[in-house]
This record gives sequence, C-alpha cells and structure tokens, in this order.
Amino acid sequence: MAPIIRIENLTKKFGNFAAVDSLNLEVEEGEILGLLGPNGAGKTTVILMLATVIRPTEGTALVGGYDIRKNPDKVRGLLGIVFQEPKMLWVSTPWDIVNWHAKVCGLSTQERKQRVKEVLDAVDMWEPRHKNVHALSGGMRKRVEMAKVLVQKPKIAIVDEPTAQIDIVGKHKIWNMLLELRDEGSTIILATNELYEADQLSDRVGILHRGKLLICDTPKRLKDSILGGDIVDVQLEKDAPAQIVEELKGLKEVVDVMQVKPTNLRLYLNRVEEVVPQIMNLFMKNGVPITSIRMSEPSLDDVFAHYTGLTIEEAQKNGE
Amino acid sequence: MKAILHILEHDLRNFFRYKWWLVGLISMNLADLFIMAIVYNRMISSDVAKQITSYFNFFAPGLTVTGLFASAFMIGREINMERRREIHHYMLSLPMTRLELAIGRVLSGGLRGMIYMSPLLLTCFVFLGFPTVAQLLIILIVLFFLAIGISGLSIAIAVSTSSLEKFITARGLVYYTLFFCSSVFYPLSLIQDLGREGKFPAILVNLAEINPLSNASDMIRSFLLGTPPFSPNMILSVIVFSTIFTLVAAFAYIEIIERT
Amino acid sequence: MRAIWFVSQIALFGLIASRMMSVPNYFQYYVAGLSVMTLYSAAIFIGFDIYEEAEHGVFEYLLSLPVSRRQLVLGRSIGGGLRSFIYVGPLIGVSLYVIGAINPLNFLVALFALFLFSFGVSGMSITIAVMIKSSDRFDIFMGVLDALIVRLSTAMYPLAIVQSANPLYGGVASFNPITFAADLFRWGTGLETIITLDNPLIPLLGVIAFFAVFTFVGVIIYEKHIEGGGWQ
Repeated sequence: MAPIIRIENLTKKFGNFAAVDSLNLEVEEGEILGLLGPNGAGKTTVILMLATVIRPTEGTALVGGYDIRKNPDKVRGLLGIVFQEPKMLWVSTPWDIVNWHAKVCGLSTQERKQRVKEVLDAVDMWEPRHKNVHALSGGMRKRVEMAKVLVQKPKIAIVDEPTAQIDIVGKHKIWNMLLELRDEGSTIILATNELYEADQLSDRVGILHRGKLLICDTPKRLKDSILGGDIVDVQLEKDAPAQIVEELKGLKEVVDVMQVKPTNLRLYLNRVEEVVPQIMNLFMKNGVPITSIRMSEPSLDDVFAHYTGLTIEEAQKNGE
Repeated sequence: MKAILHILEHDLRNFFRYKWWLVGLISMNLADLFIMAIVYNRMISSDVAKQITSYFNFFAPGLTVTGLFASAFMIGREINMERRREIHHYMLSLPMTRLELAIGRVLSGGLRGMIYMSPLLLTCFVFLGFPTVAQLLIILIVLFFLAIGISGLSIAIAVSTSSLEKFITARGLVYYTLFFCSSVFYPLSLIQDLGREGKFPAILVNLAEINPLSNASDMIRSFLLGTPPFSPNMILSVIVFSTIFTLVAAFAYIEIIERT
Repeated sequence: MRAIWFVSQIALFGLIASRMMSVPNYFQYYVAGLSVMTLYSAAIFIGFDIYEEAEHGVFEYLLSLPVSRRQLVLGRSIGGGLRSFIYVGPLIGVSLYVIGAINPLNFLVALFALFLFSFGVSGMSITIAVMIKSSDRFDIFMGVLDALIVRLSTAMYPLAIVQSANPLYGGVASFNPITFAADLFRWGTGLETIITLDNPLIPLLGVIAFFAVFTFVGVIIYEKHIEGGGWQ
C-alpha cells in the first residue's frame, strides 16, 4: 500500500540556516510516527510545512496523494493540527474554539453538538468551557488545543508536543485518546521531545537533529541498533567459573561480559529477551545457581546519544 | 462561500468579546455628540454659522463615519496580534483557500464597522430626519464600501509591519491623518481656506478633499441637511478607495502572511 | 501612539477647529487643555498595570515584600504619576513652545499643580482598580469615565460656555480635577488671552484636595481591600 505521506527532499532555510535539511520520510497509513528531537531540531518546521502554513525552500511532500506545493487546499482538508503553542485569542472560550473548529471542518449540527460535549468532557474542559482563554492555565489551553483535533477526527493528525504542561494523569488520558484516534483510522505524526511518550505511543520513531533525519525505525529496532545496548546483571550464589564467562562471551548476541564481583556478572548484549533464556540454561547446565537477574534496555535517549554523541538534554542545553 | 461565512462568524464573535473596548468607544462617541457637540454649538463663529447652522447637526453624520472607521479599523490590530503570537498559523492550517480566508477577514472587518455604526446612524436620523428609501440605500451601500475599504487598509498595514512598534506607529499615522484631515469634525472649506492662506500643506488639503471619510460624511449631510450639495464624486471616491484597499489587503494577506 | 495622537491633535484638529470657533486664541486654549488630557490618559494607566500584575502573579510577589501596604500604594501612586509626568513632559514642552508661554514663575506653580494632578489620577486609578475586582468591569468603567471626565471639563472649552450650553454639564465641570489642572496650566502660561481664572487659589486647592483624597484615602481603601487576598 502506498504511504499516506511521502516527504521528498523537504528543506526549509531561513537565510543561510537550514532548519530542515533534505528530509526524506514516508508515513504509512494508520501508523503513529514519532518525530523525536530536542528543541530546535526542526520538528515544528516540518509540521508547519506539511500543514502548508509555511512554504518549503526546496523539495515537497505528498499528503494523501496531494502535493503540498500544488494542492495545499486539498492537503489542509485531510489534516488536523495540534500546535506546540496553543493558537487562540485570549478573549475566546474553549466552547467557542472547539465548536467553531468543528463547524469549519464540516461536522453537521447534530454531530457537532454531541461531539463537542464529549470531547470537552474527555479533556476535562467541559466545566470551564465558557471561561476566557485568558483565565486558563497553560495545561488547560493545551487540552483545548488537543480537543480541536479530537473533535475533528482527521484522516491525518499532526500533534506537536501534545502533553507539554500537562500533569501525569492528564498525559495518560491524552495518550489513550491518541491511541483511540489511531484505532479509529487516523494516521498520526507525533512530534515530541519526551522520550517515554515517543517510546510508548509510536509505531516508528524518526530522530531529528539539526534539521536532519538521522534514523527512522521501530523503537525496538532503534534500541537494538545500539550494539551491546541491553544490559543484564546476574547475581550468583557462588563465584562465576572462568569457563562460564568464556562460554557467555561466545553467545551470538553477547558483546561483552564484565565480572563486576566474583559473584556478579554484567553482560552487554543485543536482543535481551532472546538471550536471557540461553544465559539461564548455561548456568543451569553448569550447576551454578542464580540468585537474581536484572535486565535493562537502552532508552531512546541512549539511541539519540548513540547517533549524535549527545543526550537530548545536552543537545537542548547547547541550544540546538 | 461557507468558509467565508465561518470566518465572518469567528471575527464577529470575537468583536463582541472586546466588551470593554466597545463600551469605551460607544461612551466616547456618545459623549462627543451629546456633550462636545452641544458645547461647540455655542462656540461656532458667525462666519461658520452661515455654513453650518448647528454644529450638533453637522457633527452627527461625521460621528457615524468616525464610529464606522474606528470599529472597522480594529481588525488590523487583531490580525497584527495574531501574527506576532503566531495564531495565524492556525488560520492558515484551516481547510479553506487563502482567498477565502483573506476575503473573510476583509469582509468581517467591514461588517463589524457596519454593525457598530448602525445605532449611531439611527441616532443621526432621529435628530436630523429620515432619508428617503433611495437615499437610505445609497447611504448603506456607500458606508458598506467604506467599511470594507477601511478594513482592507487596516489589514494591509497589519500584515506589512513585523514589529509591534512599527505597527503602532504606522497605524497611528494613517489613522489620525485620515481622521483629522477630513470633514468629519469641521467643514472642508475651513481646510481649503487654510490651504489657500499657506497655513496648511497643499498635500493635506488634497487628502482631505479625496478622503473617503470626508466624502461619506458630506454625502450623508447632503441627504439629511441639504448641504453641502450632493456630488456623484462623493460616492466614486469611496468606491475607488474601497476597491483599491480591498484588493491590496487581500493580496497582502495572502502573500505576506505565509512568509516566515 | 499617544505622541502621534498629540501631534495630530495640535497640527490638524487644533489648527483647523480653531478656525471655526468664536473663542479668541482657541488654538492656544486647546493645546493647553490637550496637555492635561494627555497627562490624564498616561497617569490612568497604572490601574491597568495592577490587573496585568495580578494576572501574572507579580502582584502577589509585591505583597510578599518587606514593605508596608501603605508604602506599597503610595509608591505605586507616586511612581505612576511620576512615570506619566516624565512621559508627557516633552509633549508639555512642545505645547508650551506652540502656545508661546511667557511667565516662568506662574508656570512653576502650574507645574506643581500638574504633578499633584498626575499623582492624584494615578491614585484614583489604583483605588478604582482595587475596588472593582474584575478586569473587564474595570476596563468598562474606565472607558466610560474617560469619555465623560474629559468632555465635562474645561480641557476643550471655557467653563462659561459649558455652563451656558447646559447648566448640569457646567456643574460637573466646575468640580472636575481636569478643569482645575487645565485652568491652572493656562494661568501658568501667562497668556492673558487664554486665562479664564480670576483666582488660581481655588483650582490649586481643588487639585491638592483631589491628590489628598485619592492618595491618602485611597491608601486606606487599598489596605482594606488587598489584605488577605481580598484583591482577588
């Protein structure tokens, strides 16, 4: 099946500075694609170009078969955007904003009345629906911004940091809503610098750094791409024999074995879930009882650091 | 067409949310008519009194036009604020063409002007007498054209100025020059006399003469008071101004607002 | 914007409108009143600042400082008045030049009165802001007040003419602090043709009373209303 979005050499320059540099990417219909990167990586610029809000300097993208340069009106008909900074006048109210957005997106009167209430309720904005935006907190404004897309149920939803400024309970609620949106048939592009969010929600994650796409794959494969990124700590009842250490090093996915203490081994390996049974069998075969096993996988921050040499936090501090 | 209606709804609803601004403007307009104009009635010189028997009657049509001007001009301030806060990104992302968006904004600015000025126009009719049906139609059509022209002018200034300071300066210069260099507050003949005496720049005299605020005010006066004499140029001036600035605004809004 | 408004009022409205008035030297008369109107509109702004501060939490910070409530409101009132005076100062200078003011001694007295006037206006704005707890209602109230207070004064026309036009208007204008300030300012210029005061003492006392009421009485009202979150 053809991808629903095909981005070809998409570039945006501001003077000599390339905010987005020759981006090539495909988004499959029905998937949640995460765009991960620190502030200034180019995520929002990509979104604004796809939304036809700003014009690319070079390259183009096909959204639902329509070229963003040649058929921007048709492209906008397919999209729903949650902007990073909520875009609303301070004199408006949540009810006005969501209701009007539903009208513009073509919902019938009947459908609109029902859905606006449902959505505002779902984002906990039903009670303050007639308060001015002026009087709402940052988190509340973000929820109203999210509500616009939820009421619209677009073919393609682009959400830019959907849970910024929202508390942990609210975050989980919104994550569930995004998953429901996907299940109902929307394709979602999720731009975020929250690692957990990208990891948990995305079918695939594209890592952006300084306007370039470094890599794009499933979270699992990204983590597996770091050689020896998985760590297994094995605590034994007695000292580990040297022969067992050699046998462990010989296992296919094991990159290195370190004897932290005579009874404590640390293994650096790939595909931890496949290798742990082999490790346990090896110890059982040699009659060496295991007291405990602790496993950890690399995070997406480790993935980012692997490809850029910096963690996301460091990249943000450097003003990238 | 539907998209334009949605934009009209959006902008009109926001217009009525600026309650404090509306009340302030209404208070000022009513105070100008029922206090300032009444007092000025006692201060008019005998020479001028031969032209305008009552300053109150002279000023009422001018007040209607100033009310329309102030309220139609406001859309520019909102659009400039949207641009500075990047709220225009949301408007640009909506499922409508750029032309629909631009036309919607210009029309809504004009419509706001018409709505605000209606009670002032009615007040004018109550005190000065009602026009004929044909005159009323002409007044409404001309004022509508004036309103969208002013809205267009305001939008053109708003999208052309990037910083708040530049916007405030440009807006102030245009606003007050058009406002005071017109026959809204005083007969055009006074400005022309000053020009002849070399006490007023010729360019400003010419501006006052072609100023659509002057022509709209004088047109209403000619219908309700019989003076100055009606001239088709009054209508032509408003239509030309409106056409120019509606097109300029639409073009500017489409071209400039997407530039980042 | 205010400076552009001021200049356009002098160069356009004042110049042209004076042609239609029977009042001699109306142009100078109007320019003097314009200075006071501008000072008023600048000084009243402190009230809007109070709401802005409340919204951004700055007000709470100010209340937490080791400064008494009395000192806080006096400081805001005087600060607001001083700020407006400094801002409008150059415009007053321009108007004096345009008018052709000639009497420096009288002018010092008038300047003193304008100082007190601007502090009084700031104090009034702060007092009203604290009493009306909604920023919308405050904006509406100030809009209406602004429209009436300027037009029901001698900023734009002599008191005798206001009284002959409508005795009620004349009555209100007689006790309007803008009237006191505008008439004193004209007296301070020393130009006989635009002076309407027989005795500057009365408007001077009026300005002092205005200042005293809205600074000192205002302090008491302010203290009562803001203590313990009463301003919210």
